[in-house]
Amino acid sequence: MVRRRSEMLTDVELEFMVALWEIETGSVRDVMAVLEGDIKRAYTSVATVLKILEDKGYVSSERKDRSLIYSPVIQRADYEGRSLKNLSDSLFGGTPTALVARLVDNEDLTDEMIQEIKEIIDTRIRKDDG
Amino acid sequence: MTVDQIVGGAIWIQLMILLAALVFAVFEGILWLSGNRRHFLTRRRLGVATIACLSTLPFIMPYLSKTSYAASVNATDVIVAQVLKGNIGISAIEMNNLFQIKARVMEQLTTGRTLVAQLVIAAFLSALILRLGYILLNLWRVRRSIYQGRVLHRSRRMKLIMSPHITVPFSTRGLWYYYIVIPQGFGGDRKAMQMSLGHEMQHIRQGDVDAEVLLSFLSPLVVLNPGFWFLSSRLRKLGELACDRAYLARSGFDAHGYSLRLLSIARQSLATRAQPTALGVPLVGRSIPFIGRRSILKERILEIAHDQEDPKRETIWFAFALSVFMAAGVLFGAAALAEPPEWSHDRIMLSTVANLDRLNELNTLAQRSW
Repeated sequence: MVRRRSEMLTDVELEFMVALWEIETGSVRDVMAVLEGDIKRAYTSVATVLKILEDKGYVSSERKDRSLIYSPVIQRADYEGRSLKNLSDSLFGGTPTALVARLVDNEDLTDEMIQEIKEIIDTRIRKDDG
Repeated sequence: MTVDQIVGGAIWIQLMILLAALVFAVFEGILWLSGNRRHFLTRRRLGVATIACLSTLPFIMPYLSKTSYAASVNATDVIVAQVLKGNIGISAIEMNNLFQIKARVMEQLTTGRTLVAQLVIAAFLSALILRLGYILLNLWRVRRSIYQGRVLHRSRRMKLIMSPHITVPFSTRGLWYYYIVIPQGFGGDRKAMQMSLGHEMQHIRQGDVDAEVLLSFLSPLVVLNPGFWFLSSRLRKLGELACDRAYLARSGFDAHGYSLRLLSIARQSLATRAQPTALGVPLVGRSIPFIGRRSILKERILEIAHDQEDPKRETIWFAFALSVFMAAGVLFGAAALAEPPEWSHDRIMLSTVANLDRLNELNTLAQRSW
């Protein structure tokens, strides 16, 4: 699924983008080499995050020989500008959190939590359409 | 009104909030242990009754503290009587010193002479100003969503607004109208509109919107009181759980579809406020101090599943009976902690014994120095 271009980056995705901005262009192994030293990551995990970044429109990929070569589509300065705008939106715009009753609360849902909630819905809540 | 009275009143209010939160927590514990945890509406009514009881205390206490009932349960007098009977192993001088702690704290806070007192005052004022700023910012955001949105429907008490600035539907109130604000993206999704509208209408019916606005405006004054955060977070959570149950029961909305939509809106909200989170989340979130962020959404979904397996019926009488006991508990606690209007015979006796002990100590010291 292609995600919206306006989506901002999560902490991990930002870390990968910083690595890619540093080397300008590279394969999954090149990005892994830059990231090495922080946390040991599996090849498939790095490839998955790069795929997400591509879906979000932050990087583009090109097949060379048998591997994909990734390059940033958005430059660092542009992203920083976008971050500032997002910060201003989160401070001065968006859904209010005080003085209101919201349909859902602001929560730091991780992918695992979302998956867990989805499983509860699918396995424990029956459909009552009829 | 003197500075002493203002500081004394502020301390008394903070203590009463802590007391009410403690009494509410005890009732919550009893409901939990007796297998009535899923009586969300009853528990919420109990929470509302706690806050109603708290707000009437300043008007009731001047009269209550003058009654013989209040004197008979006053903690100070009860402790003094036990000290005089020798049931508590503490000297009269030490007891008197303990009673003077409150006066010393008051004196330090009103004069601000010590560093600790200055730090306490600075922390209280900083928290008040920050919270006030946060509330004003949110007030501005609410007004912006309402006034820059499009009015889709207007009734005698309610306006339905579609706003381009928000991602999560919400309801609020002004002086005359309740407002239900729906994100512009929901325009083409009839089911999402129906669900959001029904859910928010239920919040308005339950009084959650009034409670939220009232608590938000009160929050700057009690921002450092853990009792306030406990009460308000419980009320909010119980209101949400009761709202899901009531809405699904009355609308006939498919529980599975409802849960999926809740998850989808939460994900959408998460995506639009990803980076930069360092400053954004603490300012916009509702994390509970020292507990952190827990997924209320997961609890809501689990309870919706639980309701399908084992539906719960609640009666207003159960909540009413519990509220009466709870109010009695808060009044008892307030009377026990109140400062007696005048010294009892036992208190005069204790003071006399303490003075005699001090004289005796002085005489002993004088004899030794000879």
